[in-house]
Amino acid sequence: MKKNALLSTILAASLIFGLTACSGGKSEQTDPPVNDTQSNTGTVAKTEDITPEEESAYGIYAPDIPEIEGSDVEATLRVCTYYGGDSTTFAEFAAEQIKKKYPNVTLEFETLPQDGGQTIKTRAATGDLPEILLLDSGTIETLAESGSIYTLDEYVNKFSIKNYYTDAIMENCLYSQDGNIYQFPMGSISPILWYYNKTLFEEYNVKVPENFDELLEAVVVFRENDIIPLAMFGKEPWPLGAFFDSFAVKENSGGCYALSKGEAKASDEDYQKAIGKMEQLIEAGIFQDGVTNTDFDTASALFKDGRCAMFMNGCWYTADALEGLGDDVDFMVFYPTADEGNVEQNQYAMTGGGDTSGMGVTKSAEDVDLAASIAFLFSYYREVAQYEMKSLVTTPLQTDNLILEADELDHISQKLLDAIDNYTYNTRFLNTFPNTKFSTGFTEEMQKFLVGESREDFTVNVDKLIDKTVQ
Amino acid sequence: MNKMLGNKRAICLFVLPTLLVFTVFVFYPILQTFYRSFYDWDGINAAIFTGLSNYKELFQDDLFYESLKNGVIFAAILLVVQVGSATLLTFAMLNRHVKGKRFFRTAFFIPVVLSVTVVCQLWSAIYNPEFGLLNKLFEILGLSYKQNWLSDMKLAIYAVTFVNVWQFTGYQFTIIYAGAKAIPEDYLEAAMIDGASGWKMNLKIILPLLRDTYRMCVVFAVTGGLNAFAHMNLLTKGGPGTSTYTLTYMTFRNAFIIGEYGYGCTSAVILVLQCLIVTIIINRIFTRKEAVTY
Repeated sequence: MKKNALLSTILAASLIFGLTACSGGKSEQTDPPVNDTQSNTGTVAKTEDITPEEESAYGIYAPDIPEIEGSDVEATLRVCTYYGGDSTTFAEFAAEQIKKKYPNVTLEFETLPQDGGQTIKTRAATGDLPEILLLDSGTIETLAESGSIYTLDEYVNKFSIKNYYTDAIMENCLYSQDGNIYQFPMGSISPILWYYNKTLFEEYNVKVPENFDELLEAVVVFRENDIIPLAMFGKEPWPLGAFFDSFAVKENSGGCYALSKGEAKASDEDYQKAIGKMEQLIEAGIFQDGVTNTDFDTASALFKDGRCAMFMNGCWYTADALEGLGDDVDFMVFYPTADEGNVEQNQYAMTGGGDTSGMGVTKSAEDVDLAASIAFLFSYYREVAQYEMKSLVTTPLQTDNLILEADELDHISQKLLDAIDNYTYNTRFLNTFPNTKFSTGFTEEMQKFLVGESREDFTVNVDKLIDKTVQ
Repeated sequence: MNKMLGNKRAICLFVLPTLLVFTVFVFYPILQTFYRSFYDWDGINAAIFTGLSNYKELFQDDLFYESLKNGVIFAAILLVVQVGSATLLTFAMLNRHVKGKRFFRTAFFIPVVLSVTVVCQLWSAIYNPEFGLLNKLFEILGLSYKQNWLSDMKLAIYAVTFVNVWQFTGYQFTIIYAGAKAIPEDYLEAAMIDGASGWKMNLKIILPLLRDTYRMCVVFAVTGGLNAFAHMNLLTKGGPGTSTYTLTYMTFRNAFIIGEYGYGCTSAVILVLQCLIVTIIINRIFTRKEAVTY
């Protein structure tokens, strides 16, 4: 009996010990986030490998910002941002640069959960936000309304950030819906590109399409030869919106963003034209089977393995594409979705673009001035790292004083650099719409459309959705 | 022992911790959910009282009816196929002529202990229209029945339900088998003497004596089907479109994706009421006029 009691006690104690050992601690994300707007493959120089001589070659231009009172006091700030894969390198690089200005400040990184802001909102409700947080249009409104984040308007002038960011970023990605600034920009204005496999086009003697008729012809030829014309990861919302916009922007550059604001309807003549074209391509078999159940990894693998001719993704996918296909990959400078003879209408109207995203300061910060300074420097240095190490030509920064690590740009980045000044953005990523009810319902309708819903039903349902969700 | 059961203080002392945990983590959240369903609330800011407008909106929402329908389909399939299969497997294991019973009992239970994520990854690969096992099997057999299992709006709900059936049939089997093994041998011997054998034994003797066991299994199957979430979240994310939505997924979508926690609570309340009513009905159906003990 006594032996049994002793055994029970030992077992209970080991169970309790095991449970407590599982709790706490940060977990680092080992894979990059799916919606990271940065490229996430390829070898990158580790910051600890950089010698003092090499460091100067990176041409790091330290922003000239005022000294903060009390910055000589030891402080630890939690920074919740992209962290994992290449993002770790960028973050650690930024931390190292910040350490030179604020040697007494330690940054503790947390990986931003990729769950549509749910964890962040829960932490806001419990008052447990990190001092510095990566914000986007999905989280800013709710956090600002609840008083969880500081406005940064005064710091924008204090730090003269206009000296470091491009005009496009200052004009399009700074102000939130309520007219305030809550973040220092991080993340570029990224167009959605149609990448294509040059070898497959040559092998099947298909012209790289520049208009809708050529695109339809290409789809038919590829299907006849068991090549998937366009791989789509329809399990995620934003690619569906991007596909819709690729057609819609030729008729109305506002795309599905205009629908979400109630500025247009799916039954409008211009949108009907775009929807009709999509219907033709879907019936011709433009996508792989199981499109609504395909994730990014599967779709990307289809493209990189040469099983599909085209792939739609943000410009951050360039390094990934080059790694898989090398010189065989290229991209179409404009979407091949306009009518023949009318290619010049909204020729360079693109989808994607920028978002009000970047590093903000939460009410958890005790020293707001210091936290704001760190947030700005982190945003800045992280983009410096991305530009210099990964040749991200769509950087939000002014690049006069920055030096690329690579001797020359890859052919895609060079081509993009030549084209990017022509691009205009009147629509945006579906998951960044303020009208989340519309964007959720629209995703569902697009999935139905992709698997065979008729154009008429799609139109009626989208218009109903607009009526229901636009106030 | 009688002294212990007569000691109300001792009973309270031992029951109180569990009761407390249940109240804090189950009962109180249910009350909160009901309370919040009358508010327009984004989860963080102050809630605005809106009365019954959430319920009015819900009953006019097509998605609500589609989710209800899918929940009923899920529950019906679990009830018939899962409980039915578990019953047949039990009869097989009770058969004296079947060898390797221990191996089979373990094999039936293995899918139950796998994590839902692992099972869904496995079946996602099996259902893949291009390289999946299922379509390849049809190809090998010379059948042209290749399907887009998870991307077909009509088929997807059945495909998702089957994954749940596959994973948890072993669980139902364990419960029914344990109940069957608890039946005293005397009953079965008496039945054999009277000439019952094989199916007659199973249907006329074993099944009726498992009434209370089946009550539990049916409640698990039906309520599990009505509030299914994990499998559709992992396999299809409620898609294609909304064809694999259940009320739980609708709650998740409204609360966590759109940020309308009040409206999400409304569908959660309907789900709780639905499960409660179904449980009461099942208990009524399975209630005996006289208690049976053995």
